[in-house]
Amino acid sequence: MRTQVRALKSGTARKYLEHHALTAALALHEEGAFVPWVSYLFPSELLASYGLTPLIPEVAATTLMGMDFREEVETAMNRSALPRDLCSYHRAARAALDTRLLPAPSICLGTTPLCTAKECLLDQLAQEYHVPFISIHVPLPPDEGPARPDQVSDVAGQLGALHERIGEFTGRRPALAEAMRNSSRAARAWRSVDEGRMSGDLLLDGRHMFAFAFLGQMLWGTVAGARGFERLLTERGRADLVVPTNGSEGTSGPRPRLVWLHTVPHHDDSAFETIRAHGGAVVFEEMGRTHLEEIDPADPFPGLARRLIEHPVWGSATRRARLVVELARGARADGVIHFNHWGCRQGLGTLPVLRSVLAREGIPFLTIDGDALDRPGGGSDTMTARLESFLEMLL
Amino acid sequence: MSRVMHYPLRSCAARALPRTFCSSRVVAIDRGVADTASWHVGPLTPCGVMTATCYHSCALIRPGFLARRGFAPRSLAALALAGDGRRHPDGIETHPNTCPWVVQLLTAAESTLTAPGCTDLIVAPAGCDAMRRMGDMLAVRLGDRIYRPWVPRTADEAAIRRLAKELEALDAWLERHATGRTAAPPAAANPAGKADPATTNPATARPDTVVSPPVEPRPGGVFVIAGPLSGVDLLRAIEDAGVPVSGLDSCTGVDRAAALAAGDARLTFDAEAREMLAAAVCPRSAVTLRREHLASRIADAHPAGLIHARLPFCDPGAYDGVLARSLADELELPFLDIEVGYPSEVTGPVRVRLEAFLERLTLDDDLLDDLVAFDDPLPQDLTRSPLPTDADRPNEVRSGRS
Ligand code: SF4
Ligand code: SF4
Repeated sequence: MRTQVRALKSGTARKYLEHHALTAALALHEEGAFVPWVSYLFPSELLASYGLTPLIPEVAATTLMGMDFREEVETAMNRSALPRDLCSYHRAARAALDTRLLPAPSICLGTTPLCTAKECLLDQLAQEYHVPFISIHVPLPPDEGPARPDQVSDVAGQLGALHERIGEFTGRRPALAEAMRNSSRAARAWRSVDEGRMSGDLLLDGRHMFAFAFLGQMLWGTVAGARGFERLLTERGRADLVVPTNGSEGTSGPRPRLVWLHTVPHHDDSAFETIRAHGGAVVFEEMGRTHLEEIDPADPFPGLARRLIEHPVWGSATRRARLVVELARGARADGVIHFNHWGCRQGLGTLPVLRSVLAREGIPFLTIDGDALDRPGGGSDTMTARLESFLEMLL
Repeated sequence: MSRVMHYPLRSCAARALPRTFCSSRVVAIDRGVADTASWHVGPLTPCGVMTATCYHSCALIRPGFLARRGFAPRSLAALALAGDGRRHPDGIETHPNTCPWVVQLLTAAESTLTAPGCTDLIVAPAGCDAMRRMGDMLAVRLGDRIYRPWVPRTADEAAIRRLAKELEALDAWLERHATGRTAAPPAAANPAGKADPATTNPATARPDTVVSPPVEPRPGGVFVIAGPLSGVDLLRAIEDAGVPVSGLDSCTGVDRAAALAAGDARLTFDAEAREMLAAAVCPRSAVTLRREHLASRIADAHPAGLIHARLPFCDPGAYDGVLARSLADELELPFLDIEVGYPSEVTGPVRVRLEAFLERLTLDDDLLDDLVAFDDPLPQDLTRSPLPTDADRPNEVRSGRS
């Protein structure tokens, strides 16, 4: 209720999306609800087609850890059989399920991107709860250029079959064309905002934009999702996403301009405070560079397949580095920061390549160790000191 | 069953050679000292040394497949164990939260394959996130000398078709790289059309990396489930405590090596994919597949306890530990989860936990009495996956609430 009032009052896209994502998430706890536990990149449109809401472990864990449930989840994490060196999104989601803070899965749906760890989690939950686990095999895209046609048609075929299977499994009638129209509305808005940011007309805070896209993942294909993303098109709608100018009016804006790679410490603002205190801003986030294309509602599977294959963090480390260089150049960034989320092998495994490619291109690069689910103020002094010297070097 | 023991590779002759010396030669000389007869020596290479070697990382690919284009298949782990494990000062710097097996293989591959003039190849299956990224890191240094096939987690028909396509592309890559090199005796030279015994007989192939229990496995002891092990330390520690090792399921275990080495050298790509997926069931495999595999191995071994040994920072191993624990619960077997390194060593705290666990096993007379009747059926049919099949499951709407 409180979020609803805030959403209605502020009228911002962020509050609107938060409200609808939370409402949809709460409905998953209702008696008889069908609960699809899905991979973060699973095309939500396939579920929206049947009026289903995805339960994305990473998003669910983040939400709970930002609420009064943190203590309870942390206690369960400490008791868990899963070792501490695993991705904390998964440990927290698993712990929340064990303590019934999250509803049990009715089906588990995976995608090979972005990590094997999440496939292991979903597969194991399916096994324990005696529900199916179906995973979309997404081939690795080439280092250069778009996904190959044979790759697109392979994934499109799997998505089509899975969409049908969800219908058989739930006994519901699909409305995929409508879901895709909603998805296209959101994508149009998202691309327009992206173009504005790239051109320099819009200066939006990468940290908040990450959170927006992160939560938005639940609502692709829904009317609420379309409306939420469209709110970004108005000044009022994006009021709480803009980078505060803090006296930099009349100058070329905040400096240094930074690109943020991978996930963010959701509940610990210390790194961003340090950046702000130095007059800088995160002007772009890597994870937001997707969903920029509209997908043909009449033939959605190839478009959805391409979106999956060409995700900026999927593919080889070389591909990722190439896209990061393009993004840093396009965003006229002074430097790039990689958040080394504890336990993320696929992300950490790209660091040597990123480091050498960015050095070769003369783009300053800093890595920050941390955990995306750290408590507020969880960032270490070493991290702050390293960040400060990096920022000073860039000024 | 033939025993394959681990022993250190870098003997006196090899140690005298510079680190940049072609690995094939280093290892060949090494083994020459130890056991000449078991060496598989391939053809001359343009890099001017001896063998056109194709290394592989995780034990997911059948060595015989790599041999079909004349390359000598060799586990990268052999290089890792032969080396000093130290990273070259200009070498690739991995994040500290990286699986030590990956770090060791990366270090070995980098220091050896980037040596001037070396044209050896490497096949690094993208089995898990860490290994996939290891391939990415090496690709930057080695260019087209590394191949990174994707290996599915499942073994259904679609997965087999996909892997068959990967293998076809891998074969084309091997063929391309074989062109211009002197080929090793083709498989056809084997009258039976079988793969070269030097690469397929676990007793003689890769004895440097294949691990098996130091004493013949006996029932009533512990069954060890592990990722990659570098040697027998853990198994020996169990035996030393007076508890037999009833069986071992490890990525570097003798059973896996034997399964991968068995079969014809020249299968169709489809058949090759099928064989590979059946042989390489490991922590990264689909849970139903892995469960079935472990349950049947445990049932055959009749252990009185289960130990799961995981490498730090290994995600598939972490979930495998949960699965192992659930199997132990269902079989009412005592269970111990430990963390080992690579190279593996039984450190103080692990030894304490291990000894306490083993002591409990030996003291539990009732448990040992129970084990007299080894032919008793398992408490339940553990080989059947609890996952409902389509036949079990009508198209009902399922509630998420349990
Ligand atoms: S942070 Fe990394 S390991 Fe965790 S869910 Fe994301 S990609 Fe997977
Ligand atoms: S599965 Fe585990 S042990 Fe094997 S390479 Fe991956 S992280 Fe390392």
